[in-house]
Amino acid sequence: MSAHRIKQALSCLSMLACLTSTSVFAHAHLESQLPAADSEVTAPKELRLTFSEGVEEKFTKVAISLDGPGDSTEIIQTQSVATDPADNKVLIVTPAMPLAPGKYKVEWHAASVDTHKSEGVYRFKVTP
Amino acid sequence: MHDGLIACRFLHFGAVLLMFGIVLFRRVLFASPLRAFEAGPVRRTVDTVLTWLAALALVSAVAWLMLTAANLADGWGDAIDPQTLALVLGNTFFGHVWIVHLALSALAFGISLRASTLPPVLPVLINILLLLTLAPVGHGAMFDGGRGLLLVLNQMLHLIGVATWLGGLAMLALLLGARSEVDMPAILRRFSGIGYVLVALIVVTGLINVRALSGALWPDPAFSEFGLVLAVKTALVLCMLALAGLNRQLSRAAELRLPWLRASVLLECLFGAAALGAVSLLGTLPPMLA
Repeated sequence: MSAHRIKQALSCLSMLACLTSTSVFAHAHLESQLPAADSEVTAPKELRLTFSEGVEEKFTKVAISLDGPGDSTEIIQTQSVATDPADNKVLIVTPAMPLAPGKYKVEWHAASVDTHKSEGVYRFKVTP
Repeated sequence: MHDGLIACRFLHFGAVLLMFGIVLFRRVLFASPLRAFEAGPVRRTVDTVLTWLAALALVSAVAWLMLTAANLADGWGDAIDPQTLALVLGNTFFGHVWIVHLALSALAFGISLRASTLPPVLPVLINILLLLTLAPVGHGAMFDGGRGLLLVLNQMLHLIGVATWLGGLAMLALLLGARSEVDMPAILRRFSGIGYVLVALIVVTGLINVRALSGALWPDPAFSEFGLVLAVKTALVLCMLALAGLNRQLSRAAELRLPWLRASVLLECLFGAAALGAVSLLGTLPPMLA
């Protein structure tokens, strides 16, 4: 068997391997968050978003809004959006003011360190 | 912006890979069989090709930065906004790698302009560094710590294998096309020997890449998005392998059939270019759909 054949066989093997794949992966998707999505918490000081890969803090945006009466919403000003110095997969969002009781919506647009973008939204509730 | 980035990746990878492969072929792998060629007139053609490739590499590197800035900041205006560009260069992982890569691109272009007066080790060194600084950008950056480092090292080996193969092919095409006083059968036989090592390196490092990125030996879904493009790329590389086998047979024949060889090498180059196009697309697709 020539070396050429062996290499072809190797390549075919990789094609066959497609039949046995399981796993979940994507460009920086949100793995967990604090306060957790759809949870009820009392007076959180900050939001921590943990992504599946490192994110670029300068190009990652997080918008927090509070559901007002009816359909209205109030945009919550943020003091800082920065990655955890020890782990660039964790994004820490600090609101300018403590979060008052109410229903909050968090919309995030992340840029991962490999320059890909992803986005998502989740909600949580602050109780008195 | 995405289409622009795909085109940019294709042009930039193409230019850098070819440049590295051609320089390595000329200065290291085949330095002695090419001695007659280096003294002849055809070397000028190769020098001119290298200068254009270096120019293309530099321009596409700048364009890549501008498109990345526009893509990250969500606006075409950001492609030429000095503040955004500075933010990308100074504050992102891509930017830090790109500062070095851009400097090397400029250096490579400068060197290509006066290649004949400089010691040959200089272009070899700069082109190696230029190629290696392409490894950390892209999907390789998605892991941190030791695993990320290993993946980047693996990507470096993959790039060296691919660049040596593609650049070598381009050089073969040039030599076959021009009438020069070189021992063509000997060069062909030697390249095909080196080719085996290269293909083994490319296949093994490629498999490691796919395994690491997709968490499996082949991405799931197997034949849509990332998996489909990867399948196309693999098919193209298999075509290249078949042609490489044909080349070997042709170069062993008692009488060298140049037209056949020329056609076969050129076709292999085309498959290589197509495979590179597929790779450029791969870099922008998520390896796994969550």
